[in-house]
Amino acid sequence: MSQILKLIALPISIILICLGIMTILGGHITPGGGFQGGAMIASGVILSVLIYGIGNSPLEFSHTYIEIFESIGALGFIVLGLVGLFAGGFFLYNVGTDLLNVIPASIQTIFHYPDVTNAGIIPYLNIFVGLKVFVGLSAIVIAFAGFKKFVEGDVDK
Amino acid sequence: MISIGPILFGFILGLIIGSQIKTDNISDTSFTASSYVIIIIAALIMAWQIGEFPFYDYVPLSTGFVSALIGILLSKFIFARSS
Repeated sequence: MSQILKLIALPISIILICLGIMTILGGHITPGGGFQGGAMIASGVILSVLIYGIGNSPLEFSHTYIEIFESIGALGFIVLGLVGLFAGGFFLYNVGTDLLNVIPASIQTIFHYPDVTNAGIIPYLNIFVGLKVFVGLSAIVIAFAGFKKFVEGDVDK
Repeated sequence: MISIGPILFGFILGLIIGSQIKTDNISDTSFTASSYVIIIIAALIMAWQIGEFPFYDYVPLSTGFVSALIGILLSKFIFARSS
């Protein structure tokens, strides 16, 4: 790739990642949310991998990193759902908002997202979904780029 | 009133992602301190133009965006090491 692209790709990737995080955090009151924000963050990573190449990309995730955050995303979602099940009686019951008044105040305080909206666990779910989508989409592209390099190596031989 | 939620979680997500930005991997191009100054200025202008997203505080900047940027850059300088 050209020098100009290499110079501009990383700053654009960083700004795309910030936009993605902002989209995740506004998911409970604006259009967007975990999936969209995660896809925006992944687009920053994809831009970087495409421009710099798989071996030289500044944004490249190890297998362990992908494994850890994919698991945290999925497990966090399930754990929040189970908290709702055991504390409120329904899977994914919003224990932070507690519309049915069945949750003790102490548990409600723990799961209440600190902002002026009474969103409860919805922002936390967005964050976990965003984490999972961002790592998942990035992993797909990193794997495809790796396969391409592998195939090109075979052709050279 | 400033809400803690987007600031805190934007910073945490920024820390998670910024720890993997390794500029030593890049060949042919070097990113110096001035590059990061330009990134910060561009991001601050963007945050100012976005405004009070997501609409729950009176700061004329998108707090989630700015805290994500701070988290990414801090984590990049502290944790990111080339293999």
